Amino acid sequence: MSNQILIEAQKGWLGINFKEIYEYRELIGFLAWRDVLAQYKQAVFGIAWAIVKPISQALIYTFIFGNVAKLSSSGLPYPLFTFCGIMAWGFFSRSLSSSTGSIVGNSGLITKVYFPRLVVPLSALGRGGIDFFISFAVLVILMLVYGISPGLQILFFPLFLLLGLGITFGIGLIFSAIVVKYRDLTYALSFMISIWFWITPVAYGMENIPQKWLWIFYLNPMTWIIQGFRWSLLGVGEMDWLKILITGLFSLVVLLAGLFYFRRFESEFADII
Amino acid sequence: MSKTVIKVKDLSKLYHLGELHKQSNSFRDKVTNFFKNREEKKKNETLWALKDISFEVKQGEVVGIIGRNGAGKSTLLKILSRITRPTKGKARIDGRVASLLEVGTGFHPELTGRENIHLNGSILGMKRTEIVRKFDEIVAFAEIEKFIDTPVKRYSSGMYVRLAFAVAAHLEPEILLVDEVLAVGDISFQKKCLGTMGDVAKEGRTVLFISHNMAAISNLCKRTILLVNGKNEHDGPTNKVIETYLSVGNEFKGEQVWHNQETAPGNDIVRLQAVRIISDGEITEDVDIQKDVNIEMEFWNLKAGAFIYSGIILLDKMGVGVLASSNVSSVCLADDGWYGRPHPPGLFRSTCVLPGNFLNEGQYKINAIIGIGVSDTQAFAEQVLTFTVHDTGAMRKEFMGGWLGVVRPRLDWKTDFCRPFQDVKRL
Repeated sequence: MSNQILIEAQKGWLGINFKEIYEYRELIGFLAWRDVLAQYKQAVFGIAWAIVKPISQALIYTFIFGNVAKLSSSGLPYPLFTFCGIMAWGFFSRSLSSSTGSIVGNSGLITKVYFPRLVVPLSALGRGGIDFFISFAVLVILMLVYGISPGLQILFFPLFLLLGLGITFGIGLIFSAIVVKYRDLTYALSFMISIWFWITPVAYGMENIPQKWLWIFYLNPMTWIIQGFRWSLLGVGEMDWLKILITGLFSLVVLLAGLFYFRRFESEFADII
Repeated sequence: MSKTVIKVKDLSKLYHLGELHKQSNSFRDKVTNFFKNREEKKKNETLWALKDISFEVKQGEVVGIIGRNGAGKSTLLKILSRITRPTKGKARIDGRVASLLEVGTGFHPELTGRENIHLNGSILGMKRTEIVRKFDEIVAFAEIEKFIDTPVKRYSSGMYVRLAFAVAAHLEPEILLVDEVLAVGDISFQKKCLGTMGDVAKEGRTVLFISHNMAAISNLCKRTILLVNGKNEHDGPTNKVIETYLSVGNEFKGEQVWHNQETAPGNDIVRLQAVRIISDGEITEDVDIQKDVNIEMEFWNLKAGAFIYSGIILLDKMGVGVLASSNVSSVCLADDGWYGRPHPPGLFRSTCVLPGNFLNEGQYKINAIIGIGVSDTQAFAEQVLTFTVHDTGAMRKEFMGGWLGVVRPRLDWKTDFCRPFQDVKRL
């Protein structure tokens, strides 16, 4: 295998070498595998945490918002309704925070070995992915328990998954490059995520929001992703092409912005990390 | 004539010192910086770590790269390994490159040896099939068969390094870039590494090798490049370049003086002015093993009433700490006259005496430290001077081999005659 490498100063906003990233697909897998393995290796209950955490969250929200505050849940059993939101939100907030911390967390690799830097945030998605699959399995069981079966709209589920991933990964890329320089913005991000959570209908249904505050929820693209999850899996709420299109465009713009911003600064990572 | 596989043309790299040295790098700092006046911003100096480096390497050549700390060796290798980009110029490399800037990059302590071989191999650029194929060979080379399923955090440091090097040794690149990895491990392991490097070279692969180990350089490399302050000063047969390098080092000869107060180590409280090694009444970098070694530090106190201490750290040539000492009363022989008293602004000189007949022969390096309070370092000059202790023969007339140890103090010995032989009755 002979290949020529040309090393030059970076000029402007270059394109992303997707072919090279594809060649490094094994490394993406290995890094994701390392993260998952290392995370669960020294935990007593191992992978069980991935089940316990969302279920206990769902029980708490059911108790507080369903029983105490008596909010409605779009006509679904409250635990099922909120679990679906928690599953989606958990996946997106985790991919956002893990991709954000990925570059700084792998500084040992960044300063010693070459590989396309995009490999690192991509592999960081793996950890959230495993948890997501487990939560998804729990959701399927809950659906069986409550006797709720999805309609044909389930075909749209992968689309909403991808759109949500586009948004969170795009933002994660921008932040992962920024925190290399300004570490303290990690805190700003976790603050942002916790506020974002409350303006997204995770723990309660949209119908509980007073008319005058609805616009905040409408402006939040994650609202449509979560609504899309519930619509495609549980068959509640309404969805139309316009909402999907707008969310899709938003997702694409954020993802591209993230990729270009990351690409612009990746060559400086090793110098300032 | 074999073909050129590495072609470097006018390669330059600019670093912003502010970025390199700033301790805290936060968004808040950036905001406060924004409001600072321009005068202060100018302090953000820049440094050409590499300046217009050009050279070519042919296939199968083993080229050594030498130079003092900060001469740009590592920056050059980092650029060629594509870890960082040059500011100017370009380089062209033909062939599969592997760079070893460190052994064990990406090792995860929680994972087992088996898992880390796969992970590390993948990080260094091996395909999965390649790792599986070479797996047994790697384990055998590292001699860790028994512990292959133990997490590497339970490994001894020797096992860890052996495993890490074993993975790297099985890379089979066409071009190998190596930075000082041989500075780790015990002597026998270093020999094994050097042997492997030699094999790589014999197989017709191209190697660029950075090291401070002149013996290794002259054993492995026919050609050597000497970098001085980021410039390619000499490029030629290894013997000649090493000779030049050693004589270039003599410019400093036991003394380091900072003529520009702005760039001297330190800050608004203290600034180093000079560090000297004085033995037998002369500034020198070669000292007699029997004679005292005076380490002299001159510094400016810029703040009236500061409580200042001076200290040194002595390292052996491998960079291992030999001792640390300071004029803090509780850790030196007697009050030095100024420690614990408020210093008026002005130039001070602290001298530390390393007694004769104390250090072993060999090379030592000095870190100079000036601080306030008890341990609040304000000025730090890392490996500012190097000196060599020479055994003039006076100390050991009886034994001519290499003497073991970092220090060689004359200790008190006593031998008693306990009883004559015939008294021994039973065993």
